[in-house]
Amino acid sequence: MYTRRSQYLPFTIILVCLFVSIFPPPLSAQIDKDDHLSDLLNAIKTNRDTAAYNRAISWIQVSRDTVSLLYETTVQSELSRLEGILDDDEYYRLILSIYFPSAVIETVSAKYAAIQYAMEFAQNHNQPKSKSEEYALLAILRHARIPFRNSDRIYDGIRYYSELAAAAKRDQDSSRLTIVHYVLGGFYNRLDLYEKAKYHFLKSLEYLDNRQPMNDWNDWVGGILGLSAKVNRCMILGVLSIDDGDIEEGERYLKLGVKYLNMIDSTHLVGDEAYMFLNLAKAESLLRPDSSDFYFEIALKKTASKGTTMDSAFYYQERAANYLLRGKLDSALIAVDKSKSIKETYRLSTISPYGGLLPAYYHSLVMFNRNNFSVIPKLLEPEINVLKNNNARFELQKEMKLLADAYQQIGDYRKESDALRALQDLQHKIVSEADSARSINYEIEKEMEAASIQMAVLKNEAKNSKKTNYYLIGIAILLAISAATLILAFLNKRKSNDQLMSKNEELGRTLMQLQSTQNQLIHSEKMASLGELTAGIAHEIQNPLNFVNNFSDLNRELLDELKEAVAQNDQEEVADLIKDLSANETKINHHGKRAEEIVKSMLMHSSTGSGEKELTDINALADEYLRLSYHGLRAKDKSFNAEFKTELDPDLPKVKVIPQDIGRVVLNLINNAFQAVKGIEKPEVIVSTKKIPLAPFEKGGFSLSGGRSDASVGGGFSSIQITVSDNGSGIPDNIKKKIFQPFFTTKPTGQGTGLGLSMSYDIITKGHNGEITVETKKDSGTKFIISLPIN
Amino acid sequence: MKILVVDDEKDVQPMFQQRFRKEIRSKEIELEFVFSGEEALAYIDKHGHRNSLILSDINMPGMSGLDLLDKIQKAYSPPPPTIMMISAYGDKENLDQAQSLGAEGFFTKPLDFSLLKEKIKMLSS
Repeated sequence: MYTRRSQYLPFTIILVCLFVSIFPPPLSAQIDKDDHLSDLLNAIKTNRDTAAYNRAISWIQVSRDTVSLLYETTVQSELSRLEGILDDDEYYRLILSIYFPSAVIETVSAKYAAIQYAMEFAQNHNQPKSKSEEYALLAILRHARIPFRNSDRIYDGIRYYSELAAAAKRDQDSSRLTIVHYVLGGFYNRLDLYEKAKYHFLKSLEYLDNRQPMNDWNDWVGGILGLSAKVNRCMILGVLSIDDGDIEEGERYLKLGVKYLNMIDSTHLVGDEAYMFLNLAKAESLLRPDSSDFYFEIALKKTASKGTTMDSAFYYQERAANYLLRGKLDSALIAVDKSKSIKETYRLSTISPYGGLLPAYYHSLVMFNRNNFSVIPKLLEPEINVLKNNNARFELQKEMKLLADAYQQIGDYRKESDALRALQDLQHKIVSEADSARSINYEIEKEMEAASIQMAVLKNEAKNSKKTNYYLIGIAILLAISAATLILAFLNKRKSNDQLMSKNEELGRTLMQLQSTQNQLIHSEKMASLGELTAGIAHEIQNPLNFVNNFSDLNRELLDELKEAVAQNDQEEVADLIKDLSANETKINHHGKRAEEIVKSMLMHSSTGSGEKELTDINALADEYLRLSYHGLRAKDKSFNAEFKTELDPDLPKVKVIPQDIGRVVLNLINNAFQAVKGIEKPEVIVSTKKIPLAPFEKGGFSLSGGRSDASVGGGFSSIQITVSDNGSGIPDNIKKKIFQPFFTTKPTGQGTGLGLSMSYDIITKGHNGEITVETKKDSGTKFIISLPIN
Repeated sequence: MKILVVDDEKDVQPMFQQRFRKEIRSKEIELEFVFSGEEALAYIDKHGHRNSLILSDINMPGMSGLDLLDKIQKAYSPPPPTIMMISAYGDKENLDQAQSLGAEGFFTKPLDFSLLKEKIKMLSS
């Protein structure tokens, strides 16, 4: 069971829209879509040739959604020619005019081209010589998040931006740091790593200051620095918290955003304003749906005065959600229709920087609530396909779940099961991707430790802002004091940042060493348990060999006797001897195989992993390791004794696992169980297996907030359970929580690595999508239960 | 002579029966099988210990062969002769302990039956 949250942050300003609004196409420019950009660029001969320049810009705006201009070598060569002709300002505006629209084209090749271009640009303009060059670099780095995020290159993105973060930190370049952390936050959010995402957005906020850069470049590229960016980060954090189910916290961030917004000189553009108020309305709607109208009115006003068409579409979508919460289905449907028509009229994409614009989903929700289930599949399926193509997993999960529920209501159980299976596959993919993303960057991982401090700082700030409302009367005095405090805080913060940075570097080195030590420890854990095994193996091999040798000797003797009996024509004796010979032969074969299995499992255990999953008989594996463990312990400690038995489900299906890994886990648990019963009266260890049909898919309401939703694995599937129980003294409560933590051990120093259970935990949960739980009761024993999915 | 074989491995039974088929036919010896130390004690308790020899494995779940040896030595006077069958590992230690507990002999697995027969002959004479 795990929770999900919105993948799509409302990202900042819609650059293209801003671009259009600030630089409307010159009326004089004659646009012909059949023109070619390289020819238009070629027409620009001098810096003063504004007509040619404007024509090129206009052409880009008109044709922007059809071609990836970054592809074209002719365009690229014209651009490099213009670098020497146009002044910096015009030149970089031209570059961005081409880059922005090209980066949002939804074909894979266009995405790759945009990524490639951004990386090359960053390399060639690493040391900007002018303000416009610097802003262009920042804007491209920021905008390249979209092709990275919306393609399979997201992990490359994490790596690349983490490297940029490290470099920017070395250069103490706070502008670049704020952008890079912002992009990383978006990546992690897409991967459902909420805490990491939040950390990076807070970090991004931290590198911003309260000065709004006094040049139109900042506005033009979307307010990437200063207060307008602060507003954006607060908005993102607010939406993130709401999606994560902490609506009050979300509201606090949004109100902090409003505070920053009010500090901005009104001549500056802040594209997030409308969406921020819309989210305030959304928070209010979730907290108090029936009294949220007022907030929606404000949001609508802001949308009308400051918003884009995208803001309007989202306004009506949220309105629909609000009406749905209130059971006003007719109003909800009207709002859905408005959102849909805006989306279609302005050709807005389904996956926007603000998240999913999903008229079909909300339409279906209305239909679901009206018990009109049969229309839902037709409504949802096209939208689901678009979401699939855009890697929009969060929205996909919502829609697939709704689709499955609709099929269930219709009574089409085959399609319901197909939908659930697809949903389950998606969820497995998400979990495993999140796991790999988690380990992708060690450097960033470390910094998480410092993050909590920053969060506390921000929360305080948010609280304080609320309080100031009560003290408006003393505002004059407060202003003076707060100005002084701000300066002090700023200086302090800078100082503590420096300290934090050097501390982080130190931590980095220490953690690198720790990681290498950890690898060694994992290796020695493997070797230690192998050592424990060896004695057991010796015993277990001698026993079958005893039979192999003796029965084959016996057969030689019996053959001699057989010859004699044949010679004497003693038919009865011949029949007897042949029966024995044949039975012995079967036993030789059986015990030979037994020895072979033991050697195999020993080799498996010592192998270094990277094993492949194969259909495995868990019963045989459990039985074998139980015996090995017992004899191993007996060999080491003569005084040790315990009853052991198996209760194995004879119909247990084979499951696809990495046998050496599961063997390791089972052996580990059995070893622990035997250790736990030492000195107990009538010690006993039982290993049992059974197959478990999972509960049918949990039916639940739809999460309008996009908030936490249960994602239990679908019904119709079953898993198997392996239980290792002992009748020892149980695990004390204070230890129980820690047993799966790495390096936790109750053994004296030097005797246990404390990695056994944590490795087991990883193998089961990460390696096999299974579960491992513990049930324990004082003085009556402990049960470790492993569940493994069958498919 | 009656030999009580104590081993948790079930295939010990056909192995011994065939190995001693001639001795069984000529009624020189009689074989009984139990599969744990506890069963062995119950058997001796029920059938008496006279004129019998115990041949026991050491590593068994529950009561070990050495525990069985110890209990027999303490419970009966004179105790029935007991021979231990031991695996290759931990030889020295098991051997020492069996000896100090009063075992009459030790055989490592895989068992050499010609030697075992010699030993039984010696003990029964």
